[in-house]
Amino acid sequence: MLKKTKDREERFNQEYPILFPVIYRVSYRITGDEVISEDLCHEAFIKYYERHEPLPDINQAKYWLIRVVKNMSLNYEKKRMREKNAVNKLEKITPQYMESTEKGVLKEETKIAVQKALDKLPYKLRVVLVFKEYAQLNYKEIGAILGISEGNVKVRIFRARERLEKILKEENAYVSEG
Amino acid sequence: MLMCPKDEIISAYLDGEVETPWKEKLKEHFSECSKCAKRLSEIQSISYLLKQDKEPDCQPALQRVHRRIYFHSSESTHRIGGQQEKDLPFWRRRVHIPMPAAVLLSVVLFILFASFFFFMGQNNTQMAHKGPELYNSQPIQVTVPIEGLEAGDLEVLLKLLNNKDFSQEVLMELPEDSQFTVFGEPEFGDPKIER
Repeated sequence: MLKKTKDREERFNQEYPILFPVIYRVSYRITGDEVISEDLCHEAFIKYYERHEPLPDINQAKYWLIRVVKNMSLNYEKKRMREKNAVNKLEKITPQYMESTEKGVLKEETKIAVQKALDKLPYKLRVVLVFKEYAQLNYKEIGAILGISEGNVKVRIFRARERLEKILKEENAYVSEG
Repeated sequence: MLMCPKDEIISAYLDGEVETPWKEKLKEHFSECSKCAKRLSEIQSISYLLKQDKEPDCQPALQRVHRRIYFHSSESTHRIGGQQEKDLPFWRRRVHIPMPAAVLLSVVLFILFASFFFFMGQNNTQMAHKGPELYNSQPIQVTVPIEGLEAGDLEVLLKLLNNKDFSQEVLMELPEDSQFTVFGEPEFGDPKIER
């Protein structure tokens, strides 16, 4: 028993430095927030650490962790959407004030325009694109993690790229204007 | 020559998700059709943009989370694999009590304690009230030899007891050499003797 625990602890220490950057990148790209990503990773790795059955290999561990992070990020996404809706309502009430501050924020953060564009993607499309581009998963793996068909993954990734292209074009026009 | 592919196919081609015969045909097509080649590079540039985007340094977070995991595992009985808890003898296992139940339990316990002390206090005052009369009174010794027990003596005793609210302790001793035999009518049962 004790030896088994020790073995697993050793394995965890070996896998952790390899897995953490991937899981962190995925959660950061989905949530767009460093603090939230750290919290998600913390929870996911604790869950992994306390798992009864060890996973057969590091790749399985990666899929498992990505799935956990993705599920947890959905709660965050719902909260964010509620806040966004509240802000939009506020914007309608006091348009001038909101516009000026938003402009200021945008100018300051042009360097993370790509992440901003990603944030604007619908959650469903963002998740598949993040899995593809930042976790280097293939369509089959993404399908397995999300429980959807490979064909569906293909469609979603394409739509995500299409939308992102549009958003980036709009954003570039806006930035060059300002 | 292949017909111009849809953007969706180009996207899948870029991801290396197009099977072998089609893959080569598409490659050939991109080298011949400038329109499709342009679209290919456009879609590809999105991937480049995403990958070139500056990333936050994950090392500080990596170390912080690692520390937190170890702190967590040493703090609680949870350990790697979460198996320790299962192997503990039952008296050392943790029991989860839902919050409402815990609150209810503590309230009930509090009421029990409070009422216990409340009634104890009442008893004490009652005893303190009666106490002096009961314990400060000197025992009165009235020795009545059994042979000489007459109606008058008993009446004196009963009167004395009556005056004392029957709270006087009475000790009746029989002579050591007494022999018990049925003899006459019981005097205590005689209505004449009762006052």
